[in-house]
Amino acid sequence: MNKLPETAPRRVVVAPDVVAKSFLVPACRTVLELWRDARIQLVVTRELLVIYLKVLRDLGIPDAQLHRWAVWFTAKDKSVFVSESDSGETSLREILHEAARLGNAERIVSTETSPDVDATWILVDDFLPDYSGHS
Amino acid sequence: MRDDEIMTVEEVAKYLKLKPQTVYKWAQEGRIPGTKLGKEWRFRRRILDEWIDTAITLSKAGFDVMHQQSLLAVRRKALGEEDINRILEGLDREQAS
Repeated sequence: MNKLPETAPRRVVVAPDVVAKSFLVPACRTVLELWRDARIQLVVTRELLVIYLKVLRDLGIPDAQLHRWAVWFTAKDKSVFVSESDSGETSLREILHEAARLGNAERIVSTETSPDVDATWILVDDFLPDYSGHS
Repeated sequence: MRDDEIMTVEEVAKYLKLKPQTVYKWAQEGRIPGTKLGKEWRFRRRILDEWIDTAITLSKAGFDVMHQQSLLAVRRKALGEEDINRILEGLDREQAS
């Protein structure tokens, strides 16, 4: 029997609030599980990596665990790591958009609503139904 | 056994509890970090340790352990959703300043 063609995981930028809230909010944890299971691929720039690690450190996560998170955020098969970014963007929103642009991400997933009309931006609860079969 | 020790296929097989043929095949395929010196494969123990640590970290179970241990750290700090929101708001202010 022929194997069905495998579709490439969708590239998304995950806002730091999703990572931070994955310890409290099941829907955010589910987004990270999609990443774990290679259903999505995270686009991560150097600036975004620094922000993720800062947030995780502020949450009290020790260095040994931060190292493991950094391995995940930069792993070739798990993430699209754009190391050469140094955009000088000033707001977190701009950094997320720059990451999406540099890594050709389809979506920016967040728990917070975008103040602007933005086709890329999507709330976690609107993003997850596409993966309703995920457990 | 020293960290910077250079190992043969047979020594790596023994260390990783694999068959030498498997180590040889993986080396040929570039799946295990080593280098060919003449006709012989050689490996450095420290690099093998890093390689296997990374492979374990990047497994599904490795993710779950990482997330679970991070969750325990967050709980030890007794942070709630409001605290997390405050951390995230601070982040936005830092970027803007």
